[in-house]
Amino acid sequence: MIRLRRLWAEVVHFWGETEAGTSMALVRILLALNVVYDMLHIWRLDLVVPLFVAEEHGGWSYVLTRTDLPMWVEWFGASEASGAALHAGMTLSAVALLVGFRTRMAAACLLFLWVQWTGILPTGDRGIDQLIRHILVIMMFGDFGRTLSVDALARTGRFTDLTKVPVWPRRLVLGQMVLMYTSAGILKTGLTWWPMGGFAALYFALQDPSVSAFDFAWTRDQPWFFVTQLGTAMTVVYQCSYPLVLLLFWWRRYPERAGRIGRWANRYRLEWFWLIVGAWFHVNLGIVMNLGIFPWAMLALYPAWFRSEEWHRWGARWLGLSGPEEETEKGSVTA
Amino acid sequence: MQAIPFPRKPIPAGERSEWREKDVDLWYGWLSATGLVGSRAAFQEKVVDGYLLLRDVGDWAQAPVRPYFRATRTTQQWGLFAVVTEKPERLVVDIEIDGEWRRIAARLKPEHPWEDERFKYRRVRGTWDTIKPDQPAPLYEAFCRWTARRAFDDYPEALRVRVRRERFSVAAPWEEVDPTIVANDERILERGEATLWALR
Repeated sequence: MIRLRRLWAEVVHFWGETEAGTSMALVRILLALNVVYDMLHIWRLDLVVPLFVAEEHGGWSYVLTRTDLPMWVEWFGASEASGAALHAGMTLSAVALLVGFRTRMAAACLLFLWVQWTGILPTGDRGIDQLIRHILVIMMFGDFGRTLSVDALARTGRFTDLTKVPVWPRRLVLGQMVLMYTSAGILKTGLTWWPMGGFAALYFALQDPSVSAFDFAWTRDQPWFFVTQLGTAMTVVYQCSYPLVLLLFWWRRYPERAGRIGRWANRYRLEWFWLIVGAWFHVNLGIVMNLGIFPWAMLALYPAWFRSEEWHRWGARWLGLSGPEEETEKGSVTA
Repeated sequence: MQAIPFPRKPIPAGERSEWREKDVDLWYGWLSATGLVGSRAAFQEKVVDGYLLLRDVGDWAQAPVRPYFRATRTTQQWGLFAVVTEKPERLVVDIEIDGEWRRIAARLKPEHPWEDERFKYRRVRGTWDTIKPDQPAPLYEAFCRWTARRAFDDYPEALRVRVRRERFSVAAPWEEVDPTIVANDERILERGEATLWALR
């Protein structure tokens, strides 16, 4: 019983810890930048009407033939004007999130409008859109606008506010990343991802004109095919092994409980392997494949890997200033 | 709970695509060596039984969290390139001038770059690359009309516009290349048909 109580106290302490809001603010800014870019890209391509308006009014959506109408369509219809208003609403909400103006409300508005849009054009909704919506839910409840925001400016007269905020939203973002990568690994059911299929998945993906950015027919020849096989195997190993980062974080949090392997992992900060491989993976995807904001929005979540004090220290070093003292509180050490 | 990949509704044997049957063959090939799985038909039956049981467990287990995922229109199953196709499709657009078809758009063909920036945008891609050969998505018709209207605007001399998806086979280095190209969901539109139906 005592052991259970102690465990519960540890769980409560873990989720109740605080730190400055810099990491969370960086996630907010980078993610919102992706959404703003995506919305402006739609406008620049003159796709607002096709993507936001019902077929009956000049768009592509068949929403008016369905019985489960999204609230937006029930209230405002699916005309050109309502489509333009929905697009403008999403853009403005994303801008408000970017600058941290009424941050929680901006996240809630963006989420609501995004869900409406998904109801209008379900086939346009990709995995990254769903991931961003999950993060928006976290942003509605977490303090992502504490610093580097208009909210901070209004509250303190300064753009930055290093008051400590609960750290659980950042941990949930990390948890979401672990879940996403692991699930992506487990769900790789196509045989070409595995030895039986010759690790040819990446090669085949690169030949698909709907997602490939260039003509990669030359990867059929060696040594390039072997390079794609290595990439395939690396992707599977990387994604399926992602839950290990939780163990690494646990060892870092409780170094006294880490065994010989844990101490070795702590010493060489082994989690950097997943961080660097992930970043490398996304940057490469962004170059060779035509996946829109997917790789960049994923990278936007990476600041959550670091606690705010680490960002302050790096920032101070970069600016040639002396950084704040290293935190010793348990739990502020990574994750 | 939502992240656990519980199975969905199984696809009847006769309706399974070639790659699914190939997957069963490959797994059977591997597991039959153990001597535990019997004939291929018995193996398939066991797989389907297990599949159905898991689906029922999944339905029950995911019920409490389903409202959240419905409200946000999300899931926690990240099947990112879970199965990579070996028979991809290329969107192509042709225009007819003086009785001859001339290609203006074909993805990844730099000599036919018309509207490539729009066609490759991920949300536009969703209107033409997710449909099945026998069941085009309702969006596809509107997409074709929109494409034809833009083509008629850019090529006033065009009499007709043809939109289709050309399916071809990609061979692994150890396989023979099959040069067959199959045209799917072909739509040919004349100038009057390119207007979206509500605006006509």
